[in-house]
Amino acid sequence: MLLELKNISVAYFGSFLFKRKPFFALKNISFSVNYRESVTILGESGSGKTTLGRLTVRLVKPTEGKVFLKGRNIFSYGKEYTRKVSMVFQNPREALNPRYSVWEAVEEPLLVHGIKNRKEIVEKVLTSVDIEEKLWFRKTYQLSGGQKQRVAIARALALNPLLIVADEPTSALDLSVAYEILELFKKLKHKQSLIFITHDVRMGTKVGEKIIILLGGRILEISPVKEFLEKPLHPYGVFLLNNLPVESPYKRKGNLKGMELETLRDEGCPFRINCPYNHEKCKLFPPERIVKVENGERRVWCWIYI
Amino acid sequence: MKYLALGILFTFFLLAIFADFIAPYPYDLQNREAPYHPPTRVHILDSSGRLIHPYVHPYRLVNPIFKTYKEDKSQKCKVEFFTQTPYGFKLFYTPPRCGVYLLGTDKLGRDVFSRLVYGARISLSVGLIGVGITFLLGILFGSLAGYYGGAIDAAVMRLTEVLMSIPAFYLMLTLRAIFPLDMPSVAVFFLIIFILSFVGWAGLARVIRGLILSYRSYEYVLAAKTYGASTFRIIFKHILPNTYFYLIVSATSAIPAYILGEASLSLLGLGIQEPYPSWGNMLSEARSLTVITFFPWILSPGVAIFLVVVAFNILGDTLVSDKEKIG
Repeated sequence: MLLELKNISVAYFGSFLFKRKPFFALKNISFSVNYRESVTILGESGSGKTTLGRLTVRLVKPTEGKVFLKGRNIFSYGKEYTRKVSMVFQNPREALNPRYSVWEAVEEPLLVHGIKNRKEIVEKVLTSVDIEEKLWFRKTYQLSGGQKQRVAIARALALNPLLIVADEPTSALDLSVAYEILELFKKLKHKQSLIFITHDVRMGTKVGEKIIILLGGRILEISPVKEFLEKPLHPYGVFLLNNLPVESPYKRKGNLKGMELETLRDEGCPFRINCPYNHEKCKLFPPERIVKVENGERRVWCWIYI
Repeated sequence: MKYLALGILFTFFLLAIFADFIAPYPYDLQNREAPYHPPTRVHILDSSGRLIHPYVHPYRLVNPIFKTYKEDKSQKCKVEFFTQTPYGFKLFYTPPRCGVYLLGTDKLGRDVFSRLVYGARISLSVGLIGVGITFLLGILFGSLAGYYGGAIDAAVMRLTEVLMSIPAFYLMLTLRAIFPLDMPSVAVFFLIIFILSFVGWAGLARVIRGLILSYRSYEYVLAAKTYGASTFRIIFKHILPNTYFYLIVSATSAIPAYILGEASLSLLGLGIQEPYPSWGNMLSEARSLTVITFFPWILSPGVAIFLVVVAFNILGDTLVSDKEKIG
């Protein structure tokens, strides 16, 4: 097991001077990522997926619980942790320093870690993300969105990490470019572990082998992608697959809204208000339920299965 | 306007840098026979209106009480250019019997133009060095506050608020009062710079703190954190280079405050001490209405201050509007 999250909660407390009631962005989350496994984290906005991504690169500290990389708490690592896990961000316009050239941007992580033969490594990673040689010494602000995102991916690859966390890497790009980036991730995914965070069911199910459904700071289901697509266990999964974009918005089935905001601050299931199986019990979050399938297991948090 | 402002600043900086060459007399050379000498008229045309080599007539003191002078047309001296003089190699000079006072002389018969040129050295360098030190302090405190946030931010910001809530001029006077009045002139020069920077850093620190606060959450800054770049590297390679434009603008608009601050301290006799000239202490002679009425050329350092301050402000403004045009 490469990365393991155990009972993670993350709360935001407001500013130093004006403390307020803690707001929990993640509530008691546990899951793990294996070597060379790609995991999709699927969640709508406000579900805590960005917080989860930032947690894995130590930009956010958990309020409760611990994160382990190779069995060791990630906050007990020094600078060498930053070599093992790197991140690709959402907005390519902001992801690269406009004063840097492509080459400098990719070289900087190597420079920071004092790695020799930088020239070869930079050439190798830039080629692997299909950046043509004539762009190598351009300033990063001269590139298009898709090219910038490729450079950002190259930068994440430069240190040859064990795990790449991609926080919505395609959502700021138009569809054709987004699919190119998606292909790139598919190509890369077996060289190291990958956490692919997205709100888009179609993109997410194309990249990952395992899918984690996140809503309102809670995990509702962890399944292999194939099984999830055939038959989602959680009613929210059913809702997601029912709401895939179709030619006409009038042909959509069911409600468009997943989570109601009022459920964000309570102890219940975040989906319950729009859930067809809403029950009095749902005001408390259900315990985990494990369903065995051929290759592995599926885990679901829903009162239906208890 | 931009080029006019740049031209004015360029001229004054040239004057300051080459003061030894441009000023015809040393700043402390007194001519007791010519107090309040009016600006010497330089003749470049002869009686028939043809352009000739410039010459001047000597001036005779007609009334020693009211200090009125008359041109003595019976004698004339050619203005010599690029010539060796008793005071060194100069741009222009006349034989001692004439004297060329482009902006007249003061009470002690010292050439106002020479003192203005030497004074530019002090007045302009106070602005530049002062802004430089302010920038160091402002960047240090501003980036600490903006980058770390929380308690450090709150502490630094409250400190700047205390500093800014005290009227700057009284703060300068108070700080000056801490130190003895009779100090070597070099010490006074650096003391004034220190006082001005101490008063001025608060505003800049707040600007920088705000900029860093907004750039801190940019994804390339976060990315730099995720690959292990040090705080120093993040601030100086990723944040500050992207804000340099705003820094330049705030510097150009801060310099006038320093020039004026030095001038006001020196005007009150608390700044640069005689015989060393600065625009402020040259103006202190012009505090009497009689002097201004009868010898208006004494005010010329005021004109110089005005020109430089306006030029710096115009420069700052045009930089802002140019940036807006570029986007």
